[in-house]
Amino acid sequence: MAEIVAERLGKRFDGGARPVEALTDFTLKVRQGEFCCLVGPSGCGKTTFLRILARLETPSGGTLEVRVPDPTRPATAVVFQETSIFPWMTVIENAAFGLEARGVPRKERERRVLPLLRKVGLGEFTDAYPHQLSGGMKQRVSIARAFVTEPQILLMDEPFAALDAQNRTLMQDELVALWEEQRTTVVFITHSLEEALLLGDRVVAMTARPGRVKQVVDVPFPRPRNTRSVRASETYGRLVVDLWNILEEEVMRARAGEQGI
Amino acid sequence: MKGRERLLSILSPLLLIAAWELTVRLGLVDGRFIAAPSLILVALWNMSVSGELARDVGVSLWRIAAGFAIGVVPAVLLGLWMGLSRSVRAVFDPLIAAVYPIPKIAILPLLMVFFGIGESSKIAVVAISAFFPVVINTYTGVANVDRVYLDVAQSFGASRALVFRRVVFPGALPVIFAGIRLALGVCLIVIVSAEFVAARSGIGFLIWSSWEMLLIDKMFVGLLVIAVIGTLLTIGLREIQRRAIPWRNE
Repeated sequence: MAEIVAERLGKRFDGGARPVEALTDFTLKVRQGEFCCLVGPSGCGKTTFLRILARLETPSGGTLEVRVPDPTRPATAVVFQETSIFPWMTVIENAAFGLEARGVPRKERERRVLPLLRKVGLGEFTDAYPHQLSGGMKQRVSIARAFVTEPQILLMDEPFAALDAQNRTLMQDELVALWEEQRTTVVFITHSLEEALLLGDRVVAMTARPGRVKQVVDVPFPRPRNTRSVRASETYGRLVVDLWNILEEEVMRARAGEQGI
Repeated sequence: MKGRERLLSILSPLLLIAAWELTVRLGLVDGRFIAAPSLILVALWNMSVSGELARDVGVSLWRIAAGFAIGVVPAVLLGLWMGLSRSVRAVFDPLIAAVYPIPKIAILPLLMVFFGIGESSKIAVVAISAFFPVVINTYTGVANVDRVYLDVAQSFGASRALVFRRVVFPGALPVIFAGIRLALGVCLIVIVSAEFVAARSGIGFLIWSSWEMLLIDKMFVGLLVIAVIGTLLTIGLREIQRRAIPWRNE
């Protein structure tokens, strides 16, 4: 369980022809054990924030405090956007990579990974290579790889973006079930307002680049959450529209920015 | 349909050989320059029995194997080092770019100055020919490992040694193998050319000396054998690749 406090966080990329301001004055607090979803137009800096949390980038301004109480467990683990599992490793090797990186011996790795792989329906595929798997199965491996390290913060960057709608629904249900057993702090990035409302405790809507927090929406659906009844509820439909009202202007601005207007 | 296609693809070379035999027998082409397939087979038999063929094939294979090993191993090591370090790449890249375009057979005389007219110069020219495609492919392979895999490794806190062993090296392996396949083809060309001009043994020598003495049937045996060797080496390499890179379904 952990807590994240970002105060006026900024990130500039100076590499290109002209510097890009990805994040400015990004202030957000994520409570411990919270499932926090970030939505916003393309290029608004959601992924940049996540990469800063994963320590793949360093912020160029502001402060970030990540309170992780348990020094024996990794602070973060990331489920990446595209298929990020290694093509040259079998399913079980892939899922155990995070443990391997932490120096866990092979026997112990297998003992911890196998039950989780069975739980996500990959028990029969432990020795398969990724090219033999469907897109959904690959993302399950990626999720297992992150979960098995028992991170104190789980970072997910549009993990279901490449899946078709039906598989996406299935994976969302599985994730809700898996998460409700552990209640790890989660930062979850998505383009889908529906997905954010189904999964999250709070939804953070961001502005167009440079990204700031525009508005935070509390999600009223109870836990343990039944995604079916959420989808069927009137509140859900209204919240999707509310969120869109908040975001539409930003998406239009981002689009204008892309066209160089 | 499939059976019929297979039949056709077996028949077409047989028909070609029959037509070849016939044109020579009927005197439509000059038998002094084009040997009939039947005579080539007879020569193949005689040379196998006398041990002449085994000697030349053995010598050429030895030169290829020794040169290949001497060329490929340092090429992979240097390529990995260049792929991992920008400064190392900055040092070697211009050198490689300058030497790579020279046809390696062109430096055979120079190598003979250094290594003498014995086996060493032949092995050296094979080694140098194998070196370049492999070193270039290795560092390109390492440098082009998908960024996301490095992010994954870093995000899980993998050590540099683990990143290399589990991510960079296997990620580059398919490209390294492509370089090795390329090198093998180049080596076959180079060894035959070297043996044409600067050897008293080997398949290249067999082909060239047979031509000079107008022993056309023996020359054709040499061509046949080099084709078979090339095919077998390619198949062997593909098999090694299939085992070394089991995640690729080609």
